[in-house]
Amino acid sequence: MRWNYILFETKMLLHNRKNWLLGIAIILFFPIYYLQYSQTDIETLQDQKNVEAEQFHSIFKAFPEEMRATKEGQEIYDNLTEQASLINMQRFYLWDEAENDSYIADGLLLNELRLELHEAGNKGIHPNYIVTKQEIHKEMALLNYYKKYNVSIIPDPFVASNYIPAALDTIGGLPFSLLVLLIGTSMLLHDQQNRSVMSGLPVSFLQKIFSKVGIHLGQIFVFLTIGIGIGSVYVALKTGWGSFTSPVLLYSDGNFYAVSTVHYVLLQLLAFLLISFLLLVVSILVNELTKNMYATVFSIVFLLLLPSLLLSAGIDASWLLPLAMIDIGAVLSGNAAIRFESAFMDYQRALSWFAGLSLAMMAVLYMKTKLQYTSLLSAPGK
Amino acid sequence: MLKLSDLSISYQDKIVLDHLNFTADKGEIIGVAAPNGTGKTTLFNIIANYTKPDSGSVLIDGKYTYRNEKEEVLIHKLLTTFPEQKDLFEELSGTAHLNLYASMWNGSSKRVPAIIDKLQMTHYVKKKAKTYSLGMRQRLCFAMMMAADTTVMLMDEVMNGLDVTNVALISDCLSEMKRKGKLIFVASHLLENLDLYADRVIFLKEGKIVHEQRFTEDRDIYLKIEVNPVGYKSLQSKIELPSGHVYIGEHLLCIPLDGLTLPEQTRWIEQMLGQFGHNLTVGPLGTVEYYEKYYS
Repeated sequence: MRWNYILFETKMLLHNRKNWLLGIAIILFFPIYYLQYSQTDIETLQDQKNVEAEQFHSIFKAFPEEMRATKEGQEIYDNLTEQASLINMQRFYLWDEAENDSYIADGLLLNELRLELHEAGNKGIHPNYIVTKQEIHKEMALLNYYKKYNVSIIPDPFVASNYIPAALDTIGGLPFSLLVLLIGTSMLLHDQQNRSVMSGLPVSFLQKIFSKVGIHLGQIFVFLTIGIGIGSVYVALKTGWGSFTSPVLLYSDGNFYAVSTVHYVLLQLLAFLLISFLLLVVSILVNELTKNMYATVFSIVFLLLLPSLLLSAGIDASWLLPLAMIDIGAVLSGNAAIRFESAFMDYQRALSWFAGLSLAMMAVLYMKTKLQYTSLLSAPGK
Repeated sequence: MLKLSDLSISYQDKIVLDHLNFTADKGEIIGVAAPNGTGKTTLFNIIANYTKPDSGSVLIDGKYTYRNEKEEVLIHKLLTTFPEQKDLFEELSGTAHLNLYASMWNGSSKRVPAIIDKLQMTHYVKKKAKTYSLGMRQRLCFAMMMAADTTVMLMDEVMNGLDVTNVALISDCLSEMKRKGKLIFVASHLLENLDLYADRVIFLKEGKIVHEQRFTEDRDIYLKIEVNPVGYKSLQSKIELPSGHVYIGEHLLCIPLDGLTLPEQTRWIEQMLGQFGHNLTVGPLGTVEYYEKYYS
C-alpha cells in the first residue's frame, strides 16, 4: 500500500509544473551564476603576497626608533625583517611550481614568526598591520594541507573545482530555503484540493508525510545534482575541471581546517539535505496551523530572517542562532561565527541542530496525530 | 458489520445527529433519505471519521473503532467513501484514478479493465478528467469505489448527473455488489430508484431516524387515493376515516388495508372508486411517499 502511495505521489509530483519551473531555476543557477562569478575580482596568492610585501614598507616606517634601542625591540625588528625576507622569497617561489615545497616551508616559518610576535604582544607594530591569529591559522592550515597532499598551491579560482563550492555557498541560506519551501508547497496541496479522493486512503498520516517529504527531498536533490553536473561541465569546458582535492578552509570549534574540495562539497550537500528535510517537515507542521501553504512559506522565511533582523536592530538573538545556521556557507567558512561573535556556529553544531530540530518536529507531528484520538482533541469543534 | 451507538453532533445551536443508534450487516444496501442539510453527509463523515462526533461511537467489523490511527487505517482498509466529482485530479486520466484506488486497497489493478468495461467507460477513460462531462465523472467516481472493492461503501449522491441509462447501469452494479456481500450506504435524491435495490431506507429528521423502511419484510398495504386538501376535508366531514390513515403531501390519502376484513376492504375500495376512481392505487408506501410524509 505504502509503495503504491509513493508511486502515486511521485506521479503527482511529476505533473507539478511549478516544481519543474523551480527545478529549472535551480539547474540554470549553476551555469548562469558563473557569468557573474567569472567577473569577480578574486585575490590570487601573488596578489596577496605582493600586498603583504608592500605593507612592510609601512610597518618598518611606523616602527618606533626608540624601541630598536631595546633588546626586545631589536628582537621584534629582526622578526619583522625575517618575515619580510620570507614573503619576498615566497613571491619568488611563486614563479616556479617546482619551488612549491620551499614556498610552503617559508610560509610555515613566516606564520611561526607572526605567532611569536603575537606572544610578544605585537609591540611597535601599527594595529592596521597586525595579521590576526585567525588569518595565521587559516594560512597554516592551507600550507599544511599543501604539504601533506602535495597539491598545487596556485589554484585557478575559476575552474570547476573552485566554482562549485562557491556556487553552493551562494545559493545556500535563504535562497535555497525559499526554493525548498516553494517546492514543498505542493506537498499537501492535493490533500486539500482533492480531499474526498485522498482522505480515505488506508495510509497513516505519518506514512503520508514521510512519503511526501522523501519524494520532495528526492526531487530537490535531483535538481541540485543536475545543476551541479551541468554547472561543472559548463565551467570545465570554459576553464577546466581543476582539482577536487585542492583545499578549502573549514571552520570548526573556533579553528580553521583545510579540507579537500570534495569533502567540503559533501558537507555542503549533507547540510542541504538536512536543511531541506527540516524545512519540509516544519512546513507541514506550520501548514497544519495556517492551512495555507503560502502563509506557511511566509512565516518560515520570516522566522529564518529573524536572527539577522534582530542582530541588525542590536537585540540579543543568541537563542535564535540555530536558525541563522541555515546559511550553511557562512557557517562552513566561519563567517557566521565572526558575524554573530559565536564560536558555537560551526558545521558540526549546525548539522546536529538540523538533525535535532528535525527529530523534534517529527515528534511534535507524531504527538499531534496521537492526540487527535484522545478526548481532548476529539471534542466539539472537530 | 457496522454499529453506530449514541451518535450526537451539533453545530452551534443546530442539532444534526441526536443520539443516533443503528446497525447494519454485510450484503445490505441501506438508503439514506433526507432533504439537504439534515445530516446525511455528516453521518457518512462520522462513519469515515472525517468528522468527530460530540458523543457516541462507530464500531466496524465488531472490533474496530476510531481509538487510534492504527485502527483508523484498519477501518479505512474496509471502508471507502464516494469521491466528489470536483475533487477528481483534472490532469489525470480515469485509468490513473482507478489504478490509484485499486492499488491502494487491493495492491493490484487487475480488476480495473473489467470495471471499465462494465461501466462502459472505455471510450473516455484514458483521457484527462478535465475533459469529462458530469455523467462521465460520476461514473468514474463510482468505478473508483468498485476498484477499491471494500466491504463497506458510503455513497453520497451516487446518482448525481446520471442519465436514465446510467442510473440503471449503476443500480445493476449496486445490486451485484450487494450479492457479493458488500454493505453499501446510498444517499440519493432519486428516491424511487432506492426502492429498486435498497434493503432498507432510513429517514433522518432532527438528528434522529424517524422511520426505517424495510423492503425485505412484509409491508403494510394501503389504499392510496390522489385527493386535494379540499376533497380530503370534505371526505373527513362525510365519513370517518380509519385511525391509521395518513394524508401525505397534501395530495395523497393512504388508508391502511391490513387489519380490515375482506368485506371492509372491498367497501373502502368501492367507496373510493366511486369518488376518485381514476386516482386510486393499492400497495405498500414507497420511499417517495414516506419522504413526502416526513418532509413535505
